[in-house]
Amino acid sequence: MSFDKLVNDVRSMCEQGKYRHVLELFDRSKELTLRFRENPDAAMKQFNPSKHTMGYLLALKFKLEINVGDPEVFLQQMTHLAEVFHLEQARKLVDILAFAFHILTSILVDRKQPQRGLLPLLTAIRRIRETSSHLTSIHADYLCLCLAAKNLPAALSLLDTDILNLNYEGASFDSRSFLLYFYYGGYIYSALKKFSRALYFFEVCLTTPSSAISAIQVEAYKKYVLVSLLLHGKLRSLPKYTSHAIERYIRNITGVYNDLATAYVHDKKPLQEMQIVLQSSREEFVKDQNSGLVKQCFASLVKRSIQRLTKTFITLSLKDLSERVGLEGGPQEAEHYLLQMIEAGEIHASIDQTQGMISFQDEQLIDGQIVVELEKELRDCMFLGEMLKVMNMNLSKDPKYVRKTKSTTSGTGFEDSSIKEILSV
Amino acid sequence: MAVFKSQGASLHVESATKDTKELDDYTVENTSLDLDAISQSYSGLMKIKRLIHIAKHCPMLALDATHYAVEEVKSTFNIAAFQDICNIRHHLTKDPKDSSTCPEAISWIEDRKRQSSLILETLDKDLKSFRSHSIKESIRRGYDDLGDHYLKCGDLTNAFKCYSRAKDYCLSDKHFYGLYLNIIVVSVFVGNWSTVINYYNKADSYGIISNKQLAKQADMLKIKSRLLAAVGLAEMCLERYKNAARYFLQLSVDAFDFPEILSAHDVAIYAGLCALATYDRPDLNNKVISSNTFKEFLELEPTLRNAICQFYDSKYTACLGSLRSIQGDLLLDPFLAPHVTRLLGEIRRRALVQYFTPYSSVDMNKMAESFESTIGELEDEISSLILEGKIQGRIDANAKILYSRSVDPRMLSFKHVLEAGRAYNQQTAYLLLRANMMKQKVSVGHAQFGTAYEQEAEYL
Repeated sequence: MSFDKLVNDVRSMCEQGKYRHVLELFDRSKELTLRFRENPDAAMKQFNPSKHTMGYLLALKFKLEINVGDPEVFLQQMTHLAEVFHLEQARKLVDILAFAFHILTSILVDRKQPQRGLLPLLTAIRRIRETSSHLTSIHADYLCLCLAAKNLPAALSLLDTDILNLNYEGASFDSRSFLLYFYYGGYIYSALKKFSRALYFFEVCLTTPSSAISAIQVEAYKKYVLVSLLLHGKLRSLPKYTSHAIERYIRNITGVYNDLATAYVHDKKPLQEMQIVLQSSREEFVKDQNSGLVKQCFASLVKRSIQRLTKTFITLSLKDLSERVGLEGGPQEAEHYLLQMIEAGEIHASIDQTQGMISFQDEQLIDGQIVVELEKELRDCMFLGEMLKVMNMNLSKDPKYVRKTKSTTSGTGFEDSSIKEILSV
Repeated sequence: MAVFKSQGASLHVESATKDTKELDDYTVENTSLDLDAISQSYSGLMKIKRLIHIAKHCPMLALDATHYAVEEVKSTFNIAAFQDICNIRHHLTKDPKDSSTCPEAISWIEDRKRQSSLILETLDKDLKSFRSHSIKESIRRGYDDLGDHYLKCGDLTNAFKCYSRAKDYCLSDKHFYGLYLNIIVVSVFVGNWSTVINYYNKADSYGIISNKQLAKQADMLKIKSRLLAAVGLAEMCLERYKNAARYFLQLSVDAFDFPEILSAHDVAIYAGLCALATYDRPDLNNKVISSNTFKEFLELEPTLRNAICQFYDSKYTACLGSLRSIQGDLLLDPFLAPHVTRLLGEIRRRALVQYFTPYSSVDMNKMAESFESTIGELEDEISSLILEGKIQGRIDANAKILYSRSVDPRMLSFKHVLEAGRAYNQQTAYLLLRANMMKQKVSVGHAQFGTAYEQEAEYL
């Protein structure tokens, strides 16, 4: 068989939809495919990326293995491919596609042109994923580009949809890109000050089944501590289903952050304790690029103590307030914080400047507003309910599950009508 | 056997560290304690323990306390305690005659050592002969005697071991109760409260506590009251004051006789304080003030009885005053001392909450007067109570008035619903994701720990 015949066969098989044969053919004709290796770019030209995506991708694989060559050409190829690939064929070889985008990402980051990769990657993700709640291993690369390009809002189009499922990518989904997606996601959300989302993302990253600790998880835990302090005022313990390895060892690796968390909840003088930790390990925070979050923790501590005071007092003098919170700057600093917080709607209060008194009002919830919020949550809840139903249905149709339940319950006691149906067929 | 040994040893360490922590932290200036009464109401090791505690913390009574203690210790073989007391005395009087290295003391120690080893030898020999004849009853008694002797020497580890070994030779229920009591007494000295509770539960499973028929017999009643007192003490030392009160309140004065550990006065005080700190008003009335059996205990401690009645009658100034007047005595009790501050603080906080309950607004000046503190301190106390949700109110720091706050339950429940709903949604979302993760076998660390870690570190 000649090289041209191979190319022709692959083309026709792709057009006829005999995808499995393409792979078999490639496996069989190892020697011929060596010609691909010699000049992958020429080989790629033999295939039309929209019609013969499989052939194109297989040729691309050799290119990736040897040398990407001119980055501009590579970028052009990938951009075009992302727009036109044949969906079904691309899904058969999604690992190659993901790998190619991964290489592209690192090249663009190295060349400091991350913004050029945003569009092709996003197009590729949107096309290849099964639904918007499916995660692909290209997701992490896209977030990486967003961070490098400092274009965080661009990431939200992906992040704001909850990931509920994983795209099928071979025998097992790459755990590293999974962790990175949630780490980067948490990173981006904490930069945008959406701390509750950020905490959830870090939590997912930390509760991923693990028999060892990944460096990504270590970094995620550091940020998890800080975000947890910002959001809840204390370090929330990790959920019960956290893997043993993480639960046991991660605290040992992240000592300074634990110290910070202990200082934050010190019952006498948390501000001073925080200062001590900050001074002794400032370098470490800077090195981890967490100094911004640490600073926010510091400010939040003051705000949190002021908020606590609003719960216990109706009126309070500025001087008293500054003493109770432990502000070194006295009444002036207290007033400064108060003004900020009133403006941001974090507390409801007014200041009587002639007497130096603050009066706090109760938080007012508006009837209509809360109902709207409730409705939105209910819609989310119903959507998730549907998803659960689908999953339950799929599970009850799973042959393995049916076999197992059949053998243990010996054919009686089935509550679920769907299983009965399957068994009766 | 090895098990007992290690257990005993660790018990010892535990109590030692605990003791050092609470030592030397305070001295008591005025007290109305009567050392005569103390030396009469306790026996053996407990008397020595209490006297040493007093000698260490009350300079006023220290010298007299050591007198009594030396007297008591000389009737035992407890050399360590003797040296301890001598050291305290020497520290107080600076008289070389009182030091533990003076010839008189040394000769006493030598003498006792000899006697003690002699007795030990005889007991051991007896036990061996019993064992060779395998008479169960005698073996049990032999172990008990050996345990008693070790207790007299102050060797708690070995005492515990011997008492425990008697377990295999118990023939009747009564023997078991005796065994449990022995073990409980030793555990109290060691400070191993979980063992006390453990053995109380074992005894309970024999039906001694709940079985009415058994409980009618006089000696059974005695055993029962001892068990209850010991477990109450254990619960108190574990800071579970409500449970402690519950156990203590089941006791009755007539059947109570436990000089090895507690006197009836102690029971009255422990129970009264624990109940005051944890019971609400109706319970306080039903179970303490108008309880027929407990009344008799309270009559032994009139000051405390007054305090409880005053608390119930909402006379908080008088109540706190009465409690303060006996604070010195309380601190001289080795078991109660570490808990006094907490218990009294808790009682005060309950009083504050109760004081405020009926009002819609309270003048804090008046409140501070009735609680004998300054406005500033009161403000701190109240604000911490508000934050804990014990008082529904807010302070007007300008006019010094505490207002009660009405919460709109509708809005509150809306808020709760929203929060719960959000948490539920997030959990469900993660549940779905996690199920799919399992399906696709996402897992960190399939490779060797080192390599995976390094690779990723590089990537970051």
